[in-house]
Amino acid sequence: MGPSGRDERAWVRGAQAGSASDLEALFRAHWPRAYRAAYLVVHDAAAAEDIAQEAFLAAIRALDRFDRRRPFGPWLHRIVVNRAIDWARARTLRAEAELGDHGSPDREPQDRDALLAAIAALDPDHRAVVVLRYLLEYTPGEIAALLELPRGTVNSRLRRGLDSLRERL
Amino acid sequence: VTAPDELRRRLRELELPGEAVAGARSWSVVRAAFAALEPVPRPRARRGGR
Repeated sequence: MGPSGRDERAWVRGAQAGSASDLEALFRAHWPRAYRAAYLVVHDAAAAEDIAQEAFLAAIRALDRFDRRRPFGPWLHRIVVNRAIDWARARTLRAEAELGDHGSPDREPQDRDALLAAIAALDPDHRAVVVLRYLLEYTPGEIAALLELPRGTVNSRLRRGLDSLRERL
Repeated sequence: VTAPDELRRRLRELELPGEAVAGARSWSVVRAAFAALEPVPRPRARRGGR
């Protein structure tokens, strides 16, 4: 579960005023889900770390302009998930060009877990909506806004993603 | 596992490689970047002005 809105607003206000301890509270509250979301889209620990870390660095660079009335999580998650999709798509293209396969990360040792392997078998766009819906708990309408997609596309990716997971598990 | 609630639980509880170490390492980087930020002057409320 994420932090309360009141805590989060206080941490953002404190960090804007220069408090490292408030920034740390914000980081501790949001890092685990940011890293997890990135990992589940890219299936690569180093890339997930870079993506989540870059999202936080972007956040502190924009901290003085951040509107405290808005929740921090969706803003961070938009950066994380879009960068993760870009990274995963680029890996697929690299693999197709270099190896002649589809860049599937199935052979990574950490994918021995059946659920991880099933998610890895989805394409990055389907992984992202599954992660946003079932890990980060956004509604389809919120996912559509975060990814700038029509809501029907989100619903269709969710349905196909779940169907694919069901077939594999 | 594909019932929505079960999927949510599994996604939250999956053990991911490097998770704890990545958090500690990234906090160091984020803290250093924050410390290097130039302080931004806050606009002051005007007192007794016209």
